[in-house]
Amino acid sequence: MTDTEADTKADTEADTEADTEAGADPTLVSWDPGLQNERTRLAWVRTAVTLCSLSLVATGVTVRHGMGGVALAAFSFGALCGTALLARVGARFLRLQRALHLGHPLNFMTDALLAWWGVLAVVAGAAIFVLSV
Amino acid sequence: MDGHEPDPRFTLANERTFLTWLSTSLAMSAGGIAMAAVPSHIFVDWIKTLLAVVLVVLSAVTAVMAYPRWRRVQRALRRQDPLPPPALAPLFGYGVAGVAVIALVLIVLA
Repeated sequence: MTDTEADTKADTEADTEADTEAGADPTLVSWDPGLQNERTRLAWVRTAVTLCSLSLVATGVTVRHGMGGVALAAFSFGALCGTALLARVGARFLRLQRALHLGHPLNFMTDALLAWWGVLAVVAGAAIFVLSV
Repeated sequence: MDGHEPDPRFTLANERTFLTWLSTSLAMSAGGIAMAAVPSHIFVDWIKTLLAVVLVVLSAVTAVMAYPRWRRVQRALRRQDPLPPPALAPLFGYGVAGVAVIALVLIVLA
């Protein structure tokens, strides 16, 4: 292949990519160069994963110490909240992206409350565990 | 809500800060549970429990204030008021540092 042929091929590929991007759902294109929504999404994922994994580990430790009851229920609730958050995070991202593009106000409370309750439950479980070990 | 919709970047930054407070709270809870789960023959029992309780109390304070603080910051953003100061930040800094230093001493002595 000569240089010219290679250039032409590269150009064609670039064109194809540009076409695909232009034809995509406009709400999926990033809203600003700061990638605010994506960073926020990752923050949600981080928090939800931490909530889930801490709940699971804490459940294991609690069972190993032969404790049960309220602490276990609290940790299970935390794990449940974390799972629900992980399941909802993608939809939240798309909803926010749409609102950002249309200039709608951002007011999505459910996930925040879910995260808060989950963390409060885990902290309550931790307090019970620490005081009764 | 009164005031007007703030710049979405600030709304999202506020949301991330809220999530970071929650993660911080979870990390301190994890520290407390880990401290309490250390086998009793390694550390002096009452110091171990004390450190664990301090961590969990810090974690509880963080978790409880996270949501109201988020709302307060959002309200300040809407009204273009000054943001509420991070009043409890030194408490967390010194608290966690204190626990870490005592734990280090215990580890060295163990």
